[in-house]
Amino acid sequence: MRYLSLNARVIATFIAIMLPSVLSAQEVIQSELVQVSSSWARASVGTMRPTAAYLTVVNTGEQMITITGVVSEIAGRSSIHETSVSAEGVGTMKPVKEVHLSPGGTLEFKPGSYHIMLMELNEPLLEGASTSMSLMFEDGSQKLFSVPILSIGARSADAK
Amino acid sequence: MTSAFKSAGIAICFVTVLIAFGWWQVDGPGKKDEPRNIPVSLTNMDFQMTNHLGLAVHPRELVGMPTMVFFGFTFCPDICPTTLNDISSWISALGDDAKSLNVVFITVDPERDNVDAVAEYLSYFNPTVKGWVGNQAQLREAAKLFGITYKRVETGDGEYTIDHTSGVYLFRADGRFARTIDYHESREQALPKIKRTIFER
Repeated sequence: MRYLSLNARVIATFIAIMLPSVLSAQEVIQSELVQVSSSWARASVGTMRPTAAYLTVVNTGEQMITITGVVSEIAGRSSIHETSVSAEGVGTMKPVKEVHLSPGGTLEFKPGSYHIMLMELNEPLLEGASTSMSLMFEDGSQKLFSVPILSIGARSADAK
Repeated sequence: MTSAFKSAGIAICFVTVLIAFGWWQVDGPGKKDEPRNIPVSLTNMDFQMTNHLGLAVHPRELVGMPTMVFFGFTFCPDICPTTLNDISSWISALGDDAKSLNVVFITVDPERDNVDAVAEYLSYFNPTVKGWVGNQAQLREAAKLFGITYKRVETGDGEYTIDHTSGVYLFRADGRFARTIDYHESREQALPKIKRTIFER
């Protein structure tokens, strides 16, 4: 009896030590490997018109990370869009379902490129205030970050 | 052996002719003109719109001062505020040179952008920028004369966005079209273009 319980204890200890490392080898939590910086949103004109938010994301991990969407406390609907301008100079905006970040890769959301569209605003985005959003990842994890609201005329996170 | 050389020779000739024909069509004299249209002179434009103050306006009024015109809509979250911000910063950088400059924003979304909406929107940018609002027929006419395109695109949620030509059009003081500033051009490229348009005769 005593012998058995010792054996069980050894096994239990073994499992307790090994389990987390086995789990982490299989399941990397994507949101924990992503760094968010330079986030900002453009102040809105009231609540009727959509506005946009921008940020820089870095994948600090060693595996591909996929961003599948975004949720925002201030907007009824938020989604990732990409602006492109054709050879004829025509500007187009298209929703983007997934954004892939390669290991060590950086992606800048900026005017004229990737941006977060904020629609159906619950309240106006006022310059000088701040709001928060979460990026959603393929594995179901989320990354919450704060977003300062800059003027309608702002062009980057450094702009006044 | 000779016949093998002969057929090889014929094949080479054939390929050469094909390549020459391809060059003629794509890069050579047979090349088609770019589809991008050039605006007519402001003196030859004839359409009426209402400005953001509610007054009737006509492109002829712009003649006499150099003019900057661009198209957009106030529900546009990315390109339009960025362009308006660029233009506001160019105006500040030009200082006194910008005092004799017309700057006109023409909405491509008359359905949502009425005079009040455009006035409210422009109040956030440099006051030199004037807004023009037309009805659908007036807008169609303006687009034809400026050589721009705009297209309503449903976003699937009952809302819509508008794909539109995003460049800024520069006209000399006598109304003749001078040049465009494309969306991705930097401030270093844009400022000399505006200065040249202001000062050249």
